This record gives sequence, C-alpha cells and structure tokens, in this order.
Amino acid sequence: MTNDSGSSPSPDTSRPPRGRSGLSRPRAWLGTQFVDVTHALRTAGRARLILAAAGALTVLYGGLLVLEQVLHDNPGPVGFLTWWAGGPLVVDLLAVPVVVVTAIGLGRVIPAAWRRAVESAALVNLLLVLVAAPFLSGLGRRPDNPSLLDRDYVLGFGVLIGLVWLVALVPPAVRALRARR
Amino acid sequence: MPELPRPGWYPRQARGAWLSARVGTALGLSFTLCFLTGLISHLHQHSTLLPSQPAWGYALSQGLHVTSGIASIPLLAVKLWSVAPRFWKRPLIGGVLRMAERASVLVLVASAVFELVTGLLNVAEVYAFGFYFPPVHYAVAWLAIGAIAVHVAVQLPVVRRELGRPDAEPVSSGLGRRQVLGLAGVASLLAAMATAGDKLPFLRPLGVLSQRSGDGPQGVPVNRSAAAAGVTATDGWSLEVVDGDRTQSFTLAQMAALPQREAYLPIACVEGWNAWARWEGVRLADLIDAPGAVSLVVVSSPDRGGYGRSTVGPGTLGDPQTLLALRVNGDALAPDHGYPLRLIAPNRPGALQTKWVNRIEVQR
Repeated sequence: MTNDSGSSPSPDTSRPPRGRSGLSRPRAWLGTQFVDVTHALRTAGRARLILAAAGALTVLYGGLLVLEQVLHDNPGPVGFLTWWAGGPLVVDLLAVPVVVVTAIGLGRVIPAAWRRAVESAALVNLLLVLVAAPFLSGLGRRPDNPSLLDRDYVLGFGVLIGLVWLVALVPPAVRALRARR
Repeated sequence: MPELPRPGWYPRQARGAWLSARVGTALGLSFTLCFLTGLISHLHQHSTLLPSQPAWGYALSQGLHVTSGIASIPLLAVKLWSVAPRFWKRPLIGGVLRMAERASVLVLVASAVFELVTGLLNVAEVYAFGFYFPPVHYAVAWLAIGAIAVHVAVQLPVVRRELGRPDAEPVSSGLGRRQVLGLAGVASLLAAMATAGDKLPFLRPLGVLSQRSGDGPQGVPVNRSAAAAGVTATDGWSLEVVDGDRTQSFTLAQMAALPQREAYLPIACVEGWNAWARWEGVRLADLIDAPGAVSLVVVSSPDRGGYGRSTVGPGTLGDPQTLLALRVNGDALAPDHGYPLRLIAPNRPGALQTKWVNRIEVQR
C-alpha cells in the first residue's frame, strides 16, 4: 500500500529497538511486521481485501498452470524465466534509462519552440515501433504461403510515421514562419 | 561501489500518479476485455460448450482479443514509463508488506509484458520464443489478471484520489503528463487501426500493419498450406464415415451427387483476421444416421500437425450451416483451402475448420 505521495506508513522507517539478547531483534522485527500487516488488513476495507484475495488465488492458479508447462519442458525453467522475468529487467534497467537519457538530450538540443512538437512525434513514433517491429522484420514470412504477411509493411508504416511527424511539426513551423515576418 | 539510482534521478515532468492512474484505468479495462475474449477462444479450442451461432461470434471475439492486446502495447509502455522511478524507491526490499507488494508488481509487470510480447510475436508469426504458444499464453494470462486484481486492490485509494484531481503542476516547454496521456491514446488508436485492416474490410487501406491484405487463392487467405500439411496427392481420395462398427465410404463423385447446401461463413483465425466466403457442400448431419443422438463427431485429415483433426459437438452438428464444403466462391476448393473437402461451420476458430478431410468418426 505505497504510493508516490507517501501518505501510507512505510513499515521500515522505524527500526526495531536494539535489545541486549540476540533474539530480541528478530523478535521485535517480527512484532513490527505483525503490527503493520494487521493494521493494513484492518484499514483496507472489505471490498479491497476480497479483490486482493481473489487476485492472489488467481495468481496461484496461473502459477500451477505455468508449472505444468515448465514440467513438460514447454519451455523449461530457464526458458520461461528468460521470457517472463526478462520483461521487467529490460524495461527497468535498459529501456527506461535509455529513453530518459534520450529525452534529456533532446530537450537540450531542440529549441524551446519546437520541443513539445518533436517530443510528441518521437513518443508516438517510438510507441508505434513497439507494435510494428515484428511485422517490419519480415521474419514471419513463409515461402509456402504467399497470403501471409503479404503487405509492404516498411512502405505502409513509413507513410504512417511520416504523417505523424508532419502533423506534429506543421503547427510550430507555421508559427516560426509567422514570427519571421 | 557507486550508489544505486533513486526515484529523484528521473525527470519529474511527464510522469507521476496523475498519469499512472489514468493510463492504468485504461489498461485495466483493455486487459479485462483481452482476458475475457481469450477465455472464449480457449473454450472454443478445448470444449464444445459454446453455441454455434451467431456465425460471426468468433470473428468478433478474437478480433477484439487481438486488437485490445495490440492497443494495450502503447498504454503499457507509457504506464511503465510513468511508474519507472518507483523501481528504485527505498527501502529496496523492506518489510513483509513492502515485499508482498513488490512481488505482486513483479508478477504484474512480468506477466503483462510477457502476454503482450508473445501475443504480438504470435500474430506476426515470429516464433522467437521457441515454445508451443497457446498453453503458455493461457497460463500467464491467469497470472496477469490475478496480479491486476491485487494491484487494483492495493492502489484503489490512489486511483480514486488521482482521478478526482486536476493536473495542477506547471510544465516547462517540453511534454507534460497531460500531453503524454493524449499521445498514449493516439498511439493506441493508431496501432489498433493499423493492425485491424484484416478484421474490418473498411480499414483495409489503412491497415499498414495488418497480418493479411485479404488476398489469397479464391479470395480467401490461407493459414496452413497444403505443402506445410504434407498433403500433396489427392488422387483416389475417398471419405470414410465410421459410426460404431459400420464404415461407409464416399468418392468425390458420390459427395457431389448428394444434396448441396450453401453457407456464407467466415474463416476466423486465432490470429485475429477473418475472411468471409460463400461455401457449398454437403451438410455434415446429412452423412450421419440419427444425428440428434450423436455426442461428438471427430473430423480428421492426413495432416499430422496439431490441427489435422477437430471435434464437432451436438450444437454445431445440428446447425444447418455446418458443411463439408466442396466449393468456395463458385469453384472447387484450391489445394490450400483443403481440396477436395473441408469442414466449415459457424462461430468456430479457423484452426478447427479442418481441411483435406478424409475421415469422420461418430461417437454416440
């Protein structure tokens, strides 16, 4: 139950008091956890608790279904973890940092009057590339089946992206021309 | 050792709870639609429970499944962008509550990304993942929808607060979160439009990322070719009808001499596209004595791949539109459409419209 504004209590900001015996620290920690969990359960409200419990049970069911596939080697544990845990790792450690650095770089290079337009087009362009990439790659084409993936994806997508940039850049261009007069 | 990143390192503009709550709500709706239509598809593939009408049922539900999934891709990307700094929030691990919440978010992000990536790759037929797609995509769908329920339960107060609050913070010359929200919507709609050209005929010219142009032999696209199925020689073909200890055999001429019926039905592919055609052939029920007493009909072909056979339940068997088709759009079936004989039935995934049929087995 955490959020950006930090309105709910964070369980670990208060350290358990240091005891004389070695046992009292973990015991105190357990006590804090117990207080935090019971507090959360008491204040959550019935609807949220039911939703959370139903969600947890559903996750458990999904986990069993996944386990069944992994035990049948479809894929094995390494293959599954690569494709499943790989998503958040790529997003948090690669994709987002690259986008942040690029956005900061763009912000410094582009004149203020053009900044919002260029960033808008770049964002829509990036989001559409995520969908388009497998089609643009052409990797799914098969020689025995000419009706599959039978469009010119590079041309069609190029036109679409061209239109996105055109629509984004025309207003600041018009403004710049007017200002010059 | 250098310090690990902190949330404050990320630029604050163009992200935050105001944006997360709104994109998250849209994603919650699109994932729910995607999950429910996915369940319908699963039921079609693994049971004969669903009704045989309306004929366009599967074309609609699977079109919605693929389109809602594709429309979710830009939304999920923007959502992850919006919440990314929280990955580095301190304490990194924390107490029991924090660990549980982190674990649920890990399951959510991993499963949501997994579903959209594998689903998209499957539609583009890029089988980079190297496992049999349907059961894994199905299993992780339960992980995703369960984790969404937990996430909604945890974040509901935040969502309520943020949806009732205007975007008050001032924004410099670059993109603000209000613009990012609008652009996520634009990208989502453009992605849906670009990939839906093989689902809605009027979108065909705009469908620059559609899996199909709609062309194909006899005006119908093909998913599994005769070459891929290993069905090349059909000379001396006959249809065997096995009913208990009785086996009947029909030559092509005998099939053509039986009463011919017509049905205007779609091939509705699990990959989302559909193509309607005028099919002619023999009613499946006409080949069976006392079809009302049948529990299941197994329709099979020489194709030894996973989709070389399918089962027809009593509802579909009793539907007058359920045919063993000999002709499509006025001509004998092309080899890639299952010459000499294929099953065509209403409200049914294309993968179960078995081609090159040479045997039907009646179970009572």
